This record gives sequence, structure tokens and C-alpha cells, in this order.
Amino acid sequence: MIISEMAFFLLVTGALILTVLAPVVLIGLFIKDYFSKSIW
Amino acid sequence: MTEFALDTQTALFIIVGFALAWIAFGVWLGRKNKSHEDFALAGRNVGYAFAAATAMATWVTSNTTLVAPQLTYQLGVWGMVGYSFAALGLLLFAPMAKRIKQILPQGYTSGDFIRLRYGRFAWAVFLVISVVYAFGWLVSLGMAGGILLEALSGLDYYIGMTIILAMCVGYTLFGGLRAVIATDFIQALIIILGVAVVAYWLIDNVGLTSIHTELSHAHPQLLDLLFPAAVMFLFNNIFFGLGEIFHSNVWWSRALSFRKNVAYKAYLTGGLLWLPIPIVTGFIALAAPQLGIFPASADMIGPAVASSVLGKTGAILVFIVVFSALASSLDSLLAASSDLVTQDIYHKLIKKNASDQQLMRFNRYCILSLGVMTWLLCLPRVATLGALLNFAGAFVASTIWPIVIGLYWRRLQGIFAGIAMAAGTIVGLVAYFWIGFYVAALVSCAVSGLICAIGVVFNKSQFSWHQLQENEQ
Repeated sequence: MIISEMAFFLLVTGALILTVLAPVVLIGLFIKDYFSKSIW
Repeated sequence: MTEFALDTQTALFIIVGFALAWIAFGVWLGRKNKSHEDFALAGRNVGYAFAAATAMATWVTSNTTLVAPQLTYQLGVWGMVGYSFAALGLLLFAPMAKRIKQILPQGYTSGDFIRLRYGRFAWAVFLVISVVYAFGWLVSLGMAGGILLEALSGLDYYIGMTIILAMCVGYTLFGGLRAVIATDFIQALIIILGVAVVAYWLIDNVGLTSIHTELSHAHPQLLDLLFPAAVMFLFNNIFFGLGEIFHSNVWWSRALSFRKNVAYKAYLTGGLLWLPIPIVTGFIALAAPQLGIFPASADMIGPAVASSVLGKTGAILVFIVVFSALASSLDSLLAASSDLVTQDIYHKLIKKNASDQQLMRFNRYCILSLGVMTWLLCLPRVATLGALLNFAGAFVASTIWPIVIGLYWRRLQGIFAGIAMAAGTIVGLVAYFWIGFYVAALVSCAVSGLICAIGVVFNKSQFSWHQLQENEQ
């Protein structure tokens, strides 16, 4: 059973979008920790 | 590759630049290390941002950036999806990390727990498994460094591998876990952005429809959802990932170093951030047939495709991404393995009254020694990265049930835990050689689970959690 073109498209682009969101989350958390003085 | 995307001088310039920057950063952060607890566990006070980033970045190894494309190239769609299921290890470790902080608030290593919970026999088996796994992973990472430089710039494998190992040993030696975690944060950002750029560039230049059409005609097995070996790999990889994370001191020492109430959400966030990355890196390999790329060694497929599509810029980008992935895992493993040797062997067996400064000094010697031993083991390039990695699967998957049951239930005794780990490993290795790499972890976990179940059913005594606390203080 071959994966359909649509499923393949959704799999790859979905993963790419989630990957791009990751730095936003990490930098956001860092800023929050920085201002609450809880980095270390 | 006869023509290399990156000239040797550029590769050396990048690696030396990064090496100097990371070592200087490590020295700067290392100034805060006043005690062994500071050095080994970053003062047990790591915040959410660094905690989530280090969980994610450490799990993005060179294997994620080199082996995920390799497995996708060999097993198709299930190769990349199967690899991404290793995120379950981080996600399921989240509640365990919280539990570890509760029952071992002053603990140092995963070995501490096994020794106190199960006694010396299970502890000895566990240490053998940990050492084999640590060296398997260290050698896999060291080899990846050499392979990467060779694939991208033509630099001799031995020279590249030596430079990368020396750099990682250098900054871990000076900065301890604090440097490891801080560099992980920056490396995580580099890895994510680099991977995203390469994948986007590939989609934009080659096209998803075009790749799907080409594969459907010329290599339909790579898009087959019922590819038997690939489906088996999917399940095997889940258990391999669980075994790697549940037993390894890399993850235990992080859980113990995180601030109170951070461990659970940090591992959960790290796992969710990691989940899509193997799909993105694996997808890169699916463009290889269309681009007419058929490298001699399958683990070079990722760098080869990126270099082909992006030219010198792509080669530099891939180089920096894989280099960061290598460093983020290598430093973690060096730090965690040396903690294990220092705490479990030196402090508990050899010199029980060692002072804090003696422990810190011994820990540094361990990091240096591990680096040298890894270098020696990397000299003969024995296997492809995937084969080497999956060989360790037979070992680590046997620890899943003893760890989980040991953390939450009182009824498993040390003798059964030890036998479960030993028998699971042996039968897993037999399966590795007789059937294939893709069943080793699966079989190991099943055998170990069966023995643990027998142990729980026939055991009448109950372990007292109090024993963990008393011995730790």
C-alpha cells in the first residue's frame, strides 16, 4: 500500500512547520526564565 | 564523492572556530563550579528553557541527522516515521523524571538507583550494559564526525574524527554539566534552523509532488506502508529509544540537575520539539533517487543530497548542523558517563571517603580517559552508523522493565531484575545476528519483560522506598 501524495505532503510539511515553531518556543522560554531570574 | 562540496580549508576553519568558541564558553561557565555537585549536576538548579532545550538537543544526535536519512533511504517512509517514534522515549520519561526527583532527591546517577533498589548483582549487570551502550554511542558519534568531514570536504576520516573528539572533551572538561547544558541550548537552535532551511530549500527546488511521483515509479517500496522490515523497524525503534533513555545516566543526571517541578514539563516539551525532526531530516534522503545520488556508503546520503541541492552553502549548513548535533550528544555522554564512573565505581567501591575536590578531579580524569578510549575505538571504522547503533539496542532494551517496575512498584527483587537484564541482552544479541538489527531491541525487551513478570508474580516481599533515602543521606 503506497502512501498517497496528499498524506506524504501533509506528513512532510506538517513536520517542517512544527520544526520551525520549536526555536520560537525555546527562545520564549528563555526570555521568561531570564526575567524571572530562573535560568540556573 | 570525488568532488567535494566544501574545501578542506573551509571545513577546518569552521571546526576550529567552533572549537575555540565552545571551549572558551565552557571555561567561562566552569568558573561557577565550586563543588562536585556543581560540576556534575549544575547545582541541581537548571531552569525550564535550558532543561527543555538540553532534552531536545541531546536526543538530536548525529544519528538523527545522518542515520534518519540513511534509514529512510533504505526503509522508505517508515524509516523516518519510525525514527521519529523515538520521541516516545522522552515523552514517557517525563513522569519518570518527576518520580526520580521525588525518590532520589540527593541521587547522582542511574547506577545509584539500581544499586540501592536492586543490590549489587543487578547493579553489576546494569553497569556492563551502561558501559557497552556508552561506548557504542560514543564511537558512533566519533565515527559520524569523521564521516561527515570526509563526505563534505575530503578531509581524512582519522583527522576529522580526532579534531571533533578533542574539541568536545575540551569544553566538557572545563565546564562540566553547566557548559554541556548551556551549549545544548545554542546548539538546539542551530540544529533546528539548519534542518528546516535544508528541507525547505529541497521542497522549493525539487518539489514534493515530483519526489512522490519519481518514487512511485522507480522505488515504490520506499513509499510502501506495509514494507515488512520497515514496520518491524518502527516497533524496534520505539523499544530501543525507551531503553536508551530509561537506563542512561545522560537522562537521569539531567532529571536530577533540573530545578524542582521542571523535570516533567522539560522532558515533555523536549520530546514534542524533537518529534518532527527525523521526518524532516529523513525526507531529505527520499530526493536522492531523483537527483541521481547513490553514495557508496548509505550513511552519507543526507550530506550528499544537501550538498547536491544547495552547493557550497548547503554543505556548510549541513556541516554546522551535524557538527552541533554531534557536540550536543558527545558532551552529554562524556559528562554523564564520567559521572557514572566517578560516583558508582570510584566513590562507592574504591574511595568511599573521597573529598569533594577529589571527586571533581577524578571526574575530569574520567572525561579525558573516555575521550582517549573513544578515539582508539573509532580508529577501525567497523560498521555503518545504523548497524552500530542498533547493536546497542539489544543491551539497552533489556533495562526498560527493571527500571520502570523498580521506580513504581515494590515487588521486583534484584535477582530477577539482574537476570532479566542479562537474559534480555543475550537473547536480543542472538536475534540481532540470526534475524536482523531491526528486531534486537524488540526481542530483548520481550524476554526481559517476561522474566520481570515472573519475578513480580512469585515475589512476596515488598521493597521499602525508605531504603533509597537512608542510603543516599
